[in-house]
Amino acid sequence: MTTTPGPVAGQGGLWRSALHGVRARVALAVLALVVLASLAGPLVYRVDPDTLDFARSAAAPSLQHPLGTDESGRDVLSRLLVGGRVSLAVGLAAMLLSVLLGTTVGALAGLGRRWADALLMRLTDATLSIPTIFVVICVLTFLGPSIPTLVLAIGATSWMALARLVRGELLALREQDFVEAAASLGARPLSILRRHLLPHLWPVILVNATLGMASAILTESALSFLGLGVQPPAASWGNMLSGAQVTLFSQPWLAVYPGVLIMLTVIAANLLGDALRDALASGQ
Amino acid sequence: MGGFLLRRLGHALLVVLLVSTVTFAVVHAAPGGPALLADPKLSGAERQAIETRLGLDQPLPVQYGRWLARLARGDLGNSFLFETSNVSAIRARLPNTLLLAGTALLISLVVAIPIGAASAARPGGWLDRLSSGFAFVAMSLPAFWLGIVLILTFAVRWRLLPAGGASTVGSAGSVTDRLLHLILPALVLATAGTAELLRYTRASARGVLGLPFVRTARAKGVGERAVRWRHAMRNALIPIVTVIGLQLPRLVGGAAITETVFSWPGMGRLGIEAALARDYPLVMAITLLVSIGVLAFTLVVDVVYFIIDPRLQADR
Repeated sequence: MTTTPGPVAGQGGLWRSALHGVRARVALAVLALVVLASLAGPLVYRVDPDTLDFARSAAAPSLQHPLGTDESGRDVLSRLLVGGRVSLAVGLAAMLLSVLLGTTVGALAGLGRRWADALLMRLTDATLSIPTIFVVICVLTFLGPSIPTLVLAIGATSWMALARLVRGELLALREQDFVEAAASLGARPLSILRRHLLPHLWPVILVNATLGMASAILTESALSFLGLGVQPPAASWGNMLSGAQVTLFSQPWLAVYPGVLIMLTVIAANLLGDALRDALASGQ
Repeated sequence: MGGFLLRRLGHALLVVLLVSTVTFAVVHAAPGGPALLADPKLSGAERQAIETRLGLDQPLPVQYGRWLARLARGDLGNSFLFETSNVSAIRARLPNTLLLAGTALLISLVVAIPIGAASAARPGGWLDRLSSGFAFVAMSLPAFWLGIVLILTFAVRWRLLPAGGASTVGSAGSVTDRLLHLILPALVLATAGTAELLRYTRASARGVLGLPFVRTARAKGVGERAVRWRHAMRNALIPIVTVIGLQLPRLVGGAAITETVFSWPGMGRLGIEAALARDYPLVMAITLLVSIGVLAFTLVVDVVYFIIDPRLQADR
């Protein structure tokens, strides 16, 4: 898909046309609700998420603990709210890193010399051809699992699709008259990129970012299952889900809450990315 | 023709060289050098002796050259976790992964292509809504969680299927026994891939169904069935093959999680065990092997494209 030349519709136009559909509106509402609950929830619901109470371990929902307690007697609701912050933050940060890497590699390949393009695209092919989970595990065992290393490992292994897309867009754009005009007026390459090309790239980046955040949240939960996600006692939806395996039959709700929240968030992010992509395709 | 294929072959070789260079670097940058030296019980002299024997006292470019030469002969180095050569550690597990990933891929294809094609023919119909709903849920499920729920439901509660492993311990491993063990992991592994393939098939088929040649076929009085399958899907399948190629590394990566959940003795779980135990040579050997497999598949796909799509021959 190549961008049409001429005036840029801008993000506002893309958002407007994407949000025409009901699905996209519902998705955005769900995401907003999840984000709001995670950010504001712990300020309103002030139960400590780390207090252990083995006398009440894995208790059913009650007035004191509206969603019950987990296997160590910690309040589930407050852990879900605090864990939401962690999961969303990891997803967001990993997505930002992957967008930054993908755009940079794509821009260098699309605008650079032929040898740079060839080298960077082979690097992209190489990264696409390996099962990245092993690399992620190696990085995490090497550096030790923590939120920054998780973000680094997930972000550094998920930039390839965007790099290819950005490169493709730029290869088409660099032949356009307005780019040539800017260049002949003496604009420096970096300022051409920033002022004339980047506005055309935003839609592609936005779609990719939405989908990337969804997959980063899923990756964190898979790593939690291997014991390499966010480390307890800190809560994340991923490690709550993996902690709930033990009691899945006696206290199934412990697995249901974080599972449903992960699913809802990921589905909403995927739906939104899809609606943006459709809006992008139909706008051209 | 020759130019196009030669260029693709060149690309693939370059990519293999890149991956092998990175794996070489990782194995060497690992703390304490190559894994054999990680043993703290070694004295300085013993360490020296090992270094000389393994050629680790040579300059780095020489070591790199030797490493490449060994690779070319099919020697992938040694695992310190299993105390065997990486090739034999992988060879013991590879068939199980091929069986699991192959079955999952087969399930994906059998489910996704007909349903994707039918959804594309009636966009917004009940099948389309149902299948895209399924695709969204399937894409958004943590695979390990799906696996655990299935184990608890089918193996623990209903006792219909085995909970893990590739065959019953102690049994001779009859075909039925092995098939029963295969069902749950194959379904879990197939879930995400099926969802993705479903969406691509639908999009690709929608694109092709709108093309003029399809209208021409209809105008000539070709039956709807023949239009859909013989005319439209034949063309729609071309980009789908690429998607399948791109899914391969994730099929192995996903297999790693699935194999761990189901204690399936495959290469993916081997990779995770090795990575967790910091057996970098083995992890890198697996990574390199998968990468070569994926690139070989992509190369084959390119050749097939070239043969079935005359437009490519005109282009190049």
